[in-house]
Amino acid sequence: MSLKLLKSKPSTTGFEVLHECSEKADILCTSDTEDEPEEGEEERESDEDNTPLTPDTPFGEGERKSVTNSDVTLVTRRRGKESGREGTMTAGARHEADSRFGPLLRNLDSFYLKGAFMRAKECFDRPLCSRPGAWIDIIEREAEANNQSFKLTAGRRRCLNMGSYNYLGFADNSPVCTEQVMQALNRYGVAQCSPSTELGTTDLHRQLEAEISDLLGKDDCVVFGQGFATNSTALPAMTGPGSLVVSDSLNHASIVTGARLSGAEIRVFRHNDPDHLDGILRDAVVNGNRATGEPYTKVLVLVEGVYSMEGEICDLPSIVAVKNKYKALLFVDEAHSIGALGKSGGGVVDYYGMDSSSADILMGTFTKAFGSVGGYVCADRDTCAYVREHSLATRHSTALPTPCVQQILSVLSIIRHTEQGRDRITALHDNAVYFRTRLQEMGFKVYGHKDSPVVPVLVYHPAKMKAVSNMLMDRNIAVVVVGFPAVPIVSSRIRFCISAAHTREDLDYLLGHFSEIGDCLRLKYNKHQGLIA
Amino acid sequence: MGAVDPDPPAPIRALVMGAVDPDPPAPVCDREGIDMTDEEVERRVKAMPSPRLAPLNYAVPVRRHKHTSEREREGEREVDADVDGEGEVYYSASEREGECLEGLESIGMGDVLDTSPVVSARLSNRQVVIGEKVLTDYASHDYLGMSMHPVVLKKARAALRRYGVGSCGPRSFYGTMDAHLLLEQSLAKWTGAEQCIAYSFGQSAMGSVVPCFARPGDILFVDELCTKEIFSACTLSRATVMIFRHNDMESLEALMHRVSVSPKDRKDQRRFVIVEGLYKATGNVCPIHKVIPLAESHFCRVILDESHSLGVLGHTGRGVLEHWRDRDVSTYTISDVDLVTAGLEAAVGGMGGVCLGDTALVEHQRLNGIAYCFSASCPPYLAVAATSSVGVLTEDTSLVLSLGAKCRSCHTLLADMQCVNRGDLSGLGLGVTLLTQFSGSPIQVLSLPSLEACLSVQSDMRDKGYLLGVDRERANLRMCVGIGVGERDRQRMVAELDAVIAETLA
Repeated sequence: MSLKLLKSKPSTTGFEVLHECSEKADILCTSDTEDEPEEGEEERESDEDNTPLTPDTPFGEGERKSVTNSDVTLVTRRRGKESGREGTMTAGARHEADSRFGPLLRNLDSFYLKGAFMRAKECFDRPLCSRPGAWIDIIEREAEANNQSFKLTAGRRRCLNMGSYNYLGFADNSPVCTEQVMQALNRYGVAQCSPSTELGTTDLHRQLEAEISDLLGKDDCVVFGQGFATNSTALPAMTGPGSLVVSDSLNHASIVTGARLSGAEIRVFRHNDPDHLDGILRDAVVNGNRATGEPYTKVLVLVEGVYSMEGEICDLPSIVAVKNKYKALLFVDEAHSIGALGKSGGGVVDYYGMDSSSADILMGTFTKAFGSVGGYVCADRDTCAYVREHSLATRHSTALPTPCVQQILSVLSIIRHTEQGRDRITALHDNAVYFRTRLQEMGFKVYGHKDSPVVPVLVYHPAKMKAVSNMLMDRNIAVVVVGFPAVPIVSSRIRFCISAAHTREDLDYLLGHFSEIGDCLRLKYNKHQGLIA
Repeated sequence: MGAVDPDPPAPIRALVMGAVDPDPPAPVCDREGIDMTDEEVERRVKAMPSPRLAPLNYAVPVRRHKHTSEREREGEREVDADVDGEGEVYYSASEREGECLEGLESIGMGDVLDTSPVVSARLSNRQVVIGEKVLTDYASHDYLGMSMHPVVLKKARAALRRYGVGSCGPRSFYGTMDAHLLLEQSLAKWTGAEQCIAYSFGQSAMGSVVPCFARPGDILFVDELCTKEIFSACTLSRATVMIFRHNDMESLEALMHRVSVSPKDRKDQRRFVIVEGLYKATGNVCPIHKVIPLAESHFCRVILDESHSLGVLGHTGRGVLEHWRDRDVSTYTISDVDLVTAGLEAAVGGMGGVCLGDTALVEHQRLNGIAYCFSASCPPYLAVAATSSVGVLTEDTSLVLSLGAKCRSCHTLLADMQCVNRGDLSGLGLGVTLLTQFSGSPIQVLSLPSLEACLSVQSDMRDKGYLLGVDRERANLRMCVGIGVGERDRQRMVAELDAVIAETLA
């Protein structure tokens, strides 16, 4: 069956899409801004043909004209001329065209960008007009100028959401949370507009810090305004020149940023490999600083609880054993595991049933399971005090807005003290296990740990990545496709994020369609083993 | 991996190294490595003290930077020969910063821990409840009271009902709501920029823009009093940082001359001038109308941070460029600046940051802006709140004008204080100076001789019912003027402050 045929016939077998598009009652703005055509619309390329990519050639038709740096510059220049404001061209465009300034956008030429990303651009940044719950309304778009930009249309598509990190389903409407959040908004305003060490700390912040440290069994906790900034500013406060940071090779960009800003020496160990870590720590103890031979002031091992691109759970027991052997310190980033793993939602330490003191620093974010925003660092009293005092984010940037704090508190009280909360944690686990097992039975190549709520399915081929995403979208399923640079270019994958809000019916609906697509695109690598080279 | 760009910018390289290389190369040792038997290793580990994260003495890590001229005098290295060095920092800063940092160390951070007040409610934009007491807020940066503005609150409430709190994902993975697109559109429209990109945290905007465009070998000319966030962004880019004296065009030009070699030798090197519109450290305005032509003539791009000037400067609050246009000394508009970043955490009264500029440059950040790609998008209700703040500002420019008037009156009161040293040698000679020269600034900065004095004045003023900010890095007292404070209260505050300072320093 050809791909084109499939695309034109969205299947509705098995499950009827009950949810209707939400009303377009727009609280935001009048239509003049919403549907306003973006600048530069007139340059729409007329030679654009919308033939779908075939999985046969790496990135679709080989000769197709690709967008290069010079094209972008040309477009910019042309725009200046056409609208008769050549003299008022932006400084950015003017300087880009002038070689004496040095080109900024050189890497726009990169192979990946022109060969693959631009052609699969519609798979990313799909805009929503609803809560990021189990079912979402996606705003339909029309591609413009060779996929360079998109124009929003009035069309809405109700889709099953397999992309958001809504692990416990708190992004869906939860009246209790919403009411409490409203009260916080009325009491403290929209945002803090002051760092937490100045006037940004409220009693809600203090309460949250106490709740989190209680949940994780630590002395104290520092709350930050953004998850990324938690890593990128807390790590420089904890380590510095003279110390060593040993980082897992698949750690998140924020950890890499933080480690770099700290000025500490950085070594990388193979993903989730305690033996390699042992070798590095041993060398650090024996040989000391690489340049001077002096002993390190401290050695900090950085791992994540759940690796978001691999769906793997960190091998905490072995890593803890190794770090204790060499008196190193352990920092665990629980961004994807807090709330989502463990019997009481206590993250990866809770999952392995280990003592709370086994990891020295527990860091996490509130973006995922809690349906809010922000991050925390949980450790002993001295470390927290020091981080609070010295991290750039707590000292200079704004504190977490109170409505967000209240959302986290409401969620915490539900998952810690109510039956409903425990049910959600169980439902998430059951859903994840069920979904993963069914995919494996079907013959898909699934990565990750069996209990992980992140389920990546390998499609390998970047063109298949685009095809799967669009075909699932046609069937009202929204998934995240992950390609280069987040993962190697030849191990492109589809990432399903399971939520407690997904019903068994939702998952079966998805599995039915995904199986069909898997047959069509030959994605069931474990079944068709003879077919992969 | 032939497909990888041979020299990708920093963020991508980090990922390539992390993700593509499953087997990292063995560490390159500068020295001959030795090995030990297991017993020896065990013995050595046993002898090691148990590790701790927080250092025992709470000292601020001070990097000792040398004055550029000092460097030259010592004949250490020629600046010209060295500008291709990776991540080097050249300081031409005044010595003041160094002095204050030492002061901070000497008092011991243990003494000043956990003194931050805990707010239990906010009655209005400038009235906060701490414990049982109602205090007047001169510390938070919500100058226009947007975080409590009724229109903004109404929209925020509606957005909370519609979207919930969090966005549960980065922008590219279903974290883009129509609210985010609207924020970008409305800010671009309001400021007159071609395009806008929204970040979820104020410091992320600069923290992503600089590493996204500057790479090792490039040169960043940075004002010495730029915020720490900006310096951290510069460090991250690993470009060469050259620091010029605060608002001093001669110092900037002198530094530019040093690196001006023939265009042929420069090849692909990029040079950026990084300035703030309104400096948080002093409350002074950047002479951007002088920076732009200077940068242009030395083939440098300009990155302008408008975190504290957006919604404050200019008769409609459109920022520092409008401020100088109003004074008829410049005709520059936002399209004459390459990149403008702004936190939405001051006058806009929300959380998040934006970068405004040319379409191609902004779109580039959607793939390379590290905090854009790898962090959850800002909560939709905050995007809606920021959009409606901008809406309020567009409709009602009297807010900005009234803020300007309040700032000027506050400035006059502060300048007339008994304890302040003035040029005519009046005043008590206590070493207190008003650093802010721009009377319309919502941030008024008083320099005190020591950090202890600052902290003591801050706590005494809190007892009297006024919350002030302290810039610990520079031992300055900071007063943020808000629109919600009346003239009478301001006069009382300044009178109290005058007395408290005189008492503390006497």
